[in-house]
This record gives sequence, C-alpha cells and structure tokens, in this order.
Amino acid sequence: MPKYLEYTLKSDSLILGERIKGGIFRPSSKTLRWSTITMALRKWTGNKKLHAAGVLDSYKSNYFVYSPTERFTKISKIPLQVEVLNNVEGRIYIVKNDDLELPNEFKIFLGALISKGFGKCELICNNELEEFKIEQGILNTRIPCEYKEKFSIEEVIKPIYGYLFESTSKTTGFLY
Amino acid sequence: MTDEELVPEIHDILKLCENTEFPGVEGAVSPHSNPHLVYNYNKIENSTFEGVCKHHHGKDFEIFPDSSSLFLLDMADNLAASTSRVGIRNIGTNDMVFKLWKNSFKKIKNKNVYFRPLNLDEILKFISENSGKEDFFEKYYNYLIQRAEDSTLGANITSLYTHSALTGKFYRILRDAGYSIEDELLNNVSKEIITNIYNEKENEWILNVIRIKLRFSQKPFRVKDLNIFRSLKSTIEKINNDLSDFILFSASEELLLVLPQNREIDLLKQFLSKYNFWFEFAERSQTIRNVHPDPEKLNKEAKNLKNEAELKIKQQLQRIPKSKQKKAEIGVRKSCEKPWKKKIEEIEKEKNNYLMQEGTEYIELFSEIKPPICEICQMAPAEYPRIDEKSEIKEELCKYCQKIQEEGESLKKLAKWTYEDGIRTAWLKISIDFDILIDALKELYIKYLKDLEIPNPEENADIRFSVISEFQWDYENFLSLFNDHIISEFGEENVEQVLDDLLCIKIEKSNNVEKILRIYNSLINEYFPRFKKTVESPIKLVISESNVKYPFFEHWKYLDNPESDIDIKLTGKGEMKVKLSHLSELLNLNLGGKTALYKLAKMADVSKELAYMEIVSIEGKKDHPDLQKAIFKMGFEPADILTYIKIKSD
Repeated sequence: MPKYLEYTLKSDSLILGERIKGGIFRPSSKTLRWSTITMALRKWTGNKKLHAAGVLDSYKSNYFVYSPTERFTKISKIPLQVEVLNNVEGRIYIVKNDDLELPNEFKIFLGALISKGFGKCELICNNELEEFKIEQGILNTRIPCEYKEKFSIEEVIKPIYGYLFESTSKTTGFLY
Repeated sequence: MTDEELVPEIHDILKLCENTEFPGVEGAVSPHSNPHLVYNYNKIENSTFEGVCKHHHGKDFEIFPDSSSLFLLDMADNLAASTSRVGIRNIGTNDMVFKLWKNSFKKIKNKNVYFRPLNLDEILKFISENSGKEDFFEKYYNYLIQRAEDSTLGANITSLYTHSALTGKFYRILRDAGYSIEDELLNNVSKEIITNIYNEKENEWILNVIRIKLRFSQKPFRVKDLNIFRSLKSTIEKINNDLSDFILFSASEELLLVLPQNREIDLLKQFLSKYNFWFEFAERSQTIRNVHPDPEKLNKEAKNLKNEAELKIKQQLQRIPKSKQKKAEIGVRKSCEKPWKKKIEEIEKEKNNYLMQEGTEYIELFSEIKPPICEICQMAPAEYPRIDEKSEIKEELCKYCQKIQEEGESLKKLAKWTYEDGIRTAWLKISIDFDILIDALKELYIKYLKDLEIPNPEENADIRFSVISEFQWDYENFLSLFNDHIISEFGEENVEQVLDDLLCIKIEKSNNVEKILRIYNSLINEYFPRFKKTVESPIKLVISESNVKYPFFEHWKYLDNPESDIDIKLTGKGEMKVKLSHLSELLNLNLGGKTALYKLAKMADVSKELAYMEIVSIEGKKDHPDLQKAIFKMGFEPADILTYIKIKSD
C-alpha cells in the first residue's frame, strides 16, 4: 500500500484556472487537481516520478480584472475577469517514493498569473500517512484514471470523466 | 377474452360505488367488497368487467382470477397499493386521502368521511361501453383524486387516481416482462391453488428498479449555451412519452424506472445519444414480493448502521479508562460493528450476483482526442469550426454542441437583458432530493401511524411506489402554481422560464428576493406544510442573485448543489441558509426600521464582527427587536442573518 506525506497548504491568493469557453470570465477550480500540484512539485523537486493531489478546505472568492497588453502595439485587449481565491487553506497528499526528499516547510508557486504576484504557497508537513482506512466516498479532487492506484483508489463506482492535455512526445504536441 | 380488451386502470371503479342492495342480501353492501354479487347481478361480456370483479384472491372474496391476464392484474393491483395489504390492521375507515405531506391528524381525527358518489347501474353502463382509460380518467377525475385507494385508517394515504394509473403501468410492465400463467392452471381451480401460485410467482418473478440522474458535460456560460436545458427538457419529455409505462417518478433531471428483466438500462441511450448526455444510475433487481422504490435502500441502511455503530463505540469507550481504551477498541468495535458488517455482506452478495449495480454510463467516451477538442463540453473532438456572428470569435465545436447551438437562442428575454446595463437578475431553482423524500415520507408516515395508535409503526410505515407517485402529482401542481405566482408578481416580461423548476427573474433590488420567499412560503403552506416538521425538507429552493452579466455557470454550480432547505446567494454580498421550518418566522421577524437596517447592512459590509456587536448591544436590541431572537432562539448564523438584512435593506 502506498504511503503519503500530508502537507498543509496556505496561500494568500491563488488562481487555479478552469479551462472554459465563455467570454471574459475565468473561474478558478475549487480543488487542487493532480495536474496542478504534481507539475508544480515536479518542477520544484526535479523528481519526475512524483505524484500528488490535494483538496482546498477554506478560501474566499474574489475577482481580479486583468487586461493583457500586446507588447508591440501597446494595445490592451478585452479585460478579463479572473476569479481569485484568497486566504486559502488546503491539504496536499504526496505519494512517497524512494527518490523523494522534501523539507518540512517550503514555498512553491502554483496556478496562473504568477508574474502578477499570485500563486505563492507555503507548504508545511503535517503527517506521514502509513496506515489508513479506505472508505467509500465522493472524490474531492481530480486524478487521472491511470494513476488512481497510486492514491489507493480501489474501485471507481461513478466516474465523472474529463480529458487532460498530455504530450505525445517532446516535439509532436498534445493529445487530450 | 384478450389482453388488449382489458383496461387495468378501471379495475377499482367499484370503490366509487355507493353501498347497494342485491337480491337475496340483507341491507346495502359495498359492491367492491362483494364483487361476486355484482358479477351475478348483471354479467357484462367484456374483459374489463372480468377484471373489475376478479382481481383479488384474498379470503373475503368469492370470485378470483381465472386467467393469466386477471392474475397479472391482481399482482399489478398489489404492486400499486399504498401498503403491503397485511401490515395495517383495520381500526376504522375514511374514504378521503390523507396526504402525508399536507394533512394534519388533528384535523381529520373525528371525521369519518364516506365518499362513494356513483351508483352501480351507472358504473355497469360505463364498463359495458368498452370505455378506455382516457374516458375513465376524464369522466371521474374529480372523484378519483379525492377517494382513497384503501379506506382503512393508516392505509388511506394514496388516491384512487394514482393507484389506478399505477396499476395500469405495473400490469403492462408484467406483461412486457413476458410473465404469464397458463390459463388451464387457473381455470376451475380453488382459491387456495390460486393463492399458492400467486405466492410462488411473487417470490420468483423479478423487476429491476433503477434511479437515473441525467448529467451534461457542457459548461453553460453564455445565453446561447443555456440551450442545453431546452435539450434536457425535450429529452426528458421524450423519455416520459415513449417509456411512460416504465417511469414511476420523474423530475427535471431525475427518473425512477421499473424495468422488466428482459430490458436493459441501455434502452435509455437512444434518447441521450442526440446530445451526448451521460447519467449516473443505481439499479436493484428484486422479487415482486420485496420490490422497494429505492434501489439504494441497502446502502442507506448500511450507512445508518455504521453511524449507529460509531456512536455506540464512542459511548462504550468513554466508560473505559483512557489508558485502556486503545486496547479495548478492537473488541468493542468488533461487537458494535456486527450488524453493519452483516449488512455489508448482504450488499456484497447482491452485487456479486449482479442484483445490485451502481455506476455511470456515457454515450460516447473517446479513449483519446486529437486536437482540437470541443470548447464547450471538452468531451469530444471539435469537428465544426464556426464564427460567432455577434462577437466574431472563432469557436471549435463537437457535433453535439453544434446541434445544441443550432437549435437557436430560446431565451430571448435573457439575451436582451444581457445587452442592457445595470440589470440585476435572480436565478432560482427548485429541486427534489429523492433520498430525503423517502426518509421524510417515512418519518411522516410513522407519525401518522403513531397518532392512530397502530402497533409497530416503524415496521408498517413502508414507503411504496404509490406514495411517491401521489407526491409527484402534488409536486407538479406546486411547481406550476409557483411559476404562475412568480409571473403574476414580477410580470411575464421579467421572467425567463428555462425549465419548470429553473427560472431567471429580472429584479430591481435585492429585496425582491423576499417576495420570492413569500410566494414560496405560501405555496409550501398550501401544498407541503408537513415538510416543515420533518428533519429535512426534500424540496429545496436555491436563489442566486447577481448582475445579469455574471456567468451562468457560476450560478449553476450553486443552484445545482443545494446544501440547506433554502440557499440564497447575493453575489459579492453574502450567502444565507434557511431551514424550511424557520421560513415563516424569518419572514415575520421585526427587524426594525429601514434606516437602522441600512446602517447595519453597511456596517456588515465593513466588518461582520462589528455588525454582530451592534445586534447584541442594548441599542441594537432596541433598533432591531427580533434579531437576537433569530440568532439565539431560531439558531441562525450571524452571517446568514446579516445577508437577510442586506436583502431587506436594499
């Protein structure tokens, strides 16, 4: 059975963009998806085998209006309204592996508009989960099907599917 | 006699017949309880008449089913009954329907209503004319909705109308299943033999009960994306129309079906494939004797047993010294969890035998999608690039989303409002929580049986299909009236009806939300007042108010996930949760003058804590007499009540 490191995540302002079609409004995801937290941690640690997923326990929704500017013409396009999560507290679960060494406290950047000052997160180690009971419930995060065993999910009773971007190779772009 | 001639819906028409005198019988007697007298009095040569007279095999009946179709009618009649026929002992009768969600026992306690408005000759004439079910329901509707299916006190909880319609459905379901008995086995045999065959088949024949929740992958943001709801509505209507006999409960996204074993759940896919809707389902195969409308009954029982076990474990461990608790826990847990583990074993056994299933069904799910992916649903390859005429934005759509958009902009009023400045709208959705509905009906039924002093109320209060169907009639009337009242209050030009239970209202101020609450409260008082007494109301109301330009999907996430009986959100201002039992009191609270309220609302904008301090101060008590009562006696959270103040002060 896999073992996990539980970290508390704290952030003043976070934008976890949802990919949606809809004019100028960009909502934020209300959970810490596998793709968001795993890729951020992989980048920070350099460990390509790392897997993590998380949940948000509390946050406050706010909105930030942002207008991307064309660098050469200096013309601003239609302003976007972006949902920002403030005073975020959450938990992340990192699958332990032999190559993984993490400090008890560290800082990473997560989500969108990092260049505008969003996404700074503080991670504090809470616990090492070695023994736990598996119970039936509703998954409060998003994990690719192929990695469900890494998170001790034995059976998916009612899946809600969506597609993820995944590169086919370093040069040939993406499949969903 | 052929099956086609038999109209199962008419089988209980004699329940509308006054007590009648028959030759050789002393005094007037009930024709329904004495069908042999009717049969001998004036024998009509048609199958419906045979069905009317021979659909019982109980000990008080002298004539009984003697053909396969009458046997099925007998079984359908029992399936559609309000009680299991054996549980409630006769302590008196009342012909009027006791609606669990409406009637109070105190009001009917001393009434013994007798409602049998027709005479026998009129009924026999109607049957002899080979009338169909439509004629029956049209001609006698007003009588059928008032007359209880079973007059026995404690069993008089569904109308003859619901029972008749349901018997017709069950009769056709059994026939569709291919269930039949050779006529020779039933002809010229004693009632005991018929009873034995009945008991044997009741334990052998199987029906599948399935709960479906329809879902869509589209994330509707713009007005034209809301076409998805029209597609959802037309899909549900088509399913209701084409599979009407199999559908026993239907809401705007949820269905309860009873299917014969020879029909698969896949038959729904033909209806859902047009728009690529997917669905969650729970299915349970049960014998006719044990069939229950909730396919997740065992799971719920297991959950309750688990909760009870955890409580017991906690209580027992508290009695043990702390130092010994850890060691003792294994033993305590083992003994307390025994009933729960037994239930889990029962569930596992059913699952292993494919008698119980739950899961999700998708119509078309690609193992991978090569770009571009549909921008609306993100679940299929985008094959239809198109340029939006208004915004000139290029969109890549899949075949399903293309179809939905092609069907035009149906919400013209809402589309118009989005081009105007400063328009505020309130989205509101009314929904039914099926799990809570079963629990609430059971709670009210137990209460009714207790009032009647019927023994073992918990065991006898079994919620069957007929009660749920009966509820559905009232729920549909309630929704329709709610729509009418909203339109008459706000004006037709200010109300966009997306679904029967999903409306968008153009409002001038946030305090218009209070008008919506008052309409809702008055209709709840009229239709479902007893739900104010249950632990939780199965009917949920969610109101989400904002500027019209606020993206609909953000509203939808809130509207689609009610957390309380009534949830209200004023975007950017606050949220509140209200228990249905508190709604009348809330609306009648004396919150003080408008100026004081406005001040308090402004204070809450700066600091909720400061506003709370104002409420509990001596001065606050003077300015807002009932606010302390709302927080300390009614149990409102200060944040909830501050949101209500913002509604009232706008």
